[in-house]
Parts: sequence; structure tokens; C-alpha cells
Amino acid sequence: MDFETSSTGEKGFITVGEDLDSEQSGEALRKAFNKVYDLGLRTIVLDLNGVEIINSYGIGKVLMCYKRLKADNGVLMVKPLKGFVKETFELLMLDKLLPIYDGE
Amino acid sequence: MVLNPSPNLLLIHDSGSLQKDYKEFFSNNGWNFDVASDFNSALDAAKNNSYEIIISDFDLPELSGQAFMDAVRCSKPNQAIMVVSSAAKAEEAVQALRSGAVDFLQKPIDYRFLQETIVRVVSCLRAEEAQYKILKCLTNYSAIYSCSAKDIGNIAFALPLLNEMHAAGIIDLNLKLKITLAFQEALANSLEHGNLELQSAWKDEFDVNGVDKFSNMKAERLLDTSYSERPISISCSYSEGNLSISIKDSGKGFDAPRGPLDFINDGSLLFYGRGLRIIFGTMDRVCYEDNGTKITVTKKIK
Repeated sequence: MDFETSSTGEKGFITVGEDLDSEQSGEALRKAFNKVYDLGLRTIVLDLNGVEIINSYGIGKVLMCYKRLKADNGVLMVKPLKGFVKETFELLMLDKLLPIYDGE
Repeated sequence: MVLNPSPNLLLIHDSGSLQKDYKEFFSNNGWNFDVASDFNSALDAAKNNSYEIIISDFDLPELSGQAFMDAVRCSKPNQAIMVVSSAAKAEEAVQALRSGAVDFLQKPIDYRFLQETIVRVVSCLRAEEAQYKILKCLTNYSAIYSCSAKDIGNIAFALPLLNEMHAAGIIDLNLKLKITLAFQEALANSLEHGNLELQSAWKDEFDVNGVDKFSNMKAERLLDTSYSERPISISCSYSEGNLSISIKDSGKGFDAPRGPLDFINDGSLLFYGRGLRIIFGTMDRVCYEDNGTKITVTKKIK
């Protein structure tokens, strides 16, 4: 399982195409993050619109991305969320922590 | 629009050209139907057979539609009855709807509309019947799943029961996802912190590859049978609209929170205690027993 990555200018993008509720998808996120991070990009945008289910494990992986970027003065952003993922982020107040990326 | 299996219908109508049209319509749809043309034979047929829907013409000279409905409902209170009438008897038909008729169709008959209505009503009735059967089976239902850490260490285990309830329309997708999420969080806690005795603080310790100690220790202990073969017991029960799920692990237990306020404090909860916050935030009731080795979560679903 691999997640699509891309970059535009100083921003890196990761499109999470699977539910973030297993070690497999968590590992795929970690690999995708490392790929973008190793390019030197410190503003990384997660697109979670392909995610229907996220659990604590998946959120843990998202937070690991956040912590690594924060330690290097970077920013982890998310594209506008919807549905169950949005509810879960709000429940955990992650919406206060991760800014929304409104660009295309 | 296909109904499978073919529905059983009773048509109450006097003989005449319209009855011929009805028969042709039912036959063309491949539906099973009986015909009755007076009050007594209609009542006998309704009492002695099992019809998913009775289509009752209120224009029969010797048949009071309301009296017929009342008589049928004495023996079959949930019998679905659809009323067909002329505009002249519209008031009576409206009264029938108030008395529980599933729908009302005015003459002249629009057969396409009649077909859509029958398909819709029968489909709804079948869905309700399926829900009723599942809920009846679930009343005082209890199921126990036994597994060990190595069985479910790396998978997002979902309860088959929730899929069945969702498929039957008892719970919507959002509720299914919420209960599944809370269940998986509770199961992960029992597995990781209970049976495998993993510590949350290890999530902040990383090796040279960027992998945290928590993940490394988990992988290690899943291979160690003294940890991985410890049993976990999952039980589900449903009673009076409440679905309860209990998970019992074989760990050493912990100082369980009494409620969500015990651990909602500051930003640190983002890194520790997320699972508990999700559980408390999505379920109606959370209860710990046996020194924290057993958790029971409950959600009202009906």
C-alpha cells in the first residue's frame, strides 16, 4: 500500500487513499511522509478525503507527522475534512491543531 | 423494479372489466395474487392466508372499507392494506389512511403509480420485517468471541453484528462507524496496554529509522507467546434498545478513569488517552470492572 505524494513550490502533498485504521495504512502514511520530508519540504498537506474510517492508531500516525514537522519549525495542514473523519478530528480537538489548507 | 421473492397480494374487487385489468397487471408483474369480491370471502382470505399487502377497493356496494379494515385488524393488527377508491369516496379513503392504511390510490388507476407504490410498500415492509427479526434475535442476545493478541494484533477487527445491523437498516453508517471506532479503541487498549503491557510513553521514543519504541515492542511481544497467547474475551449483548460490548483482557489492570473529565486536561491528551476520549465521546455509557481489565461500552440504538 502506497499513498500518492506530490509537491508544489515549498509545499508537499500526501493523498491518503485508504482508511487509516490499521498498521498497514499507518505504515503507508509514514513512508509517504518520509518521502516528502526528505525532499526538505516543511509544509505538508494531508488530503484525507479518501478516508472513511480513522481510528486512534491512524490519528497517532498523523500526530507523529505533526510532531516531526513542529520540531523542525514546519507545519502539517489538512485539506477540508468531511463526514466521520471531520467529526473524529473535532472530538479530539485536532481541528484546533492542524490548520486547514484551502488551496487547490 | 423487481420484488424478489414475488409478493403475495389480495385484491378485493367485484367482477368487471377493471378486475380484468388488475389481473393482467399483477400477472404481467409476475406477482402472486388472490381475488375476493365480497366482504365475507375477503375477510376469510385475509384471515386464512398470509398477504404482504391487501389492495381494497372501497367502491364495492356491499363492502364498507372501514369495516373491512377494522375486521382484518382484529386478527392481524399489522396487516398492510392499500385503499383504492373513486373521488366520491375520497373522504372515506382519507379516514382509512388515518386508521393505518399504507397508501391510497384514486381511480382511474394509474398502473405505473400502483406498481411503484406496491414495490415501495412491500420493500419497506420487508425491510421492517428484517429489522424486527434481527432485533428479536438480539433481544437478550449474547455472543462471545475468544481470541488472543496474536489473532488480532495487526488487524482492525470489526464485529460482524454491526455489519448485519447496518445492512438491515437498524443503524446508519455514521452510527456503525462510531460504535466500530469505540469498539476498536477499547480492543486496542485491552490488547496493547492489557495483554501486551505496552506503555504509552514508548510512543515518544524513536529508533534511528524513526520507528517508535511502542511499535517495536508491540511487534516483539506479538512474537512472544507469553504475551501473545493471553486470551481476550469479547461479548456483545442487546437489550431494550441498548447494544453493549464488553472486552476482558488478561493484563494487570490499570487505574481506570471514572469519566471523560478525568483525562481531558490539556494538549497532552492528543498524544495519550486519545482512545479513551474517543470511547467516552462516542458511546453513551462506559464502565470499567475487574481492576480495569474489563470495559463495557453501551450505545442506545433504538
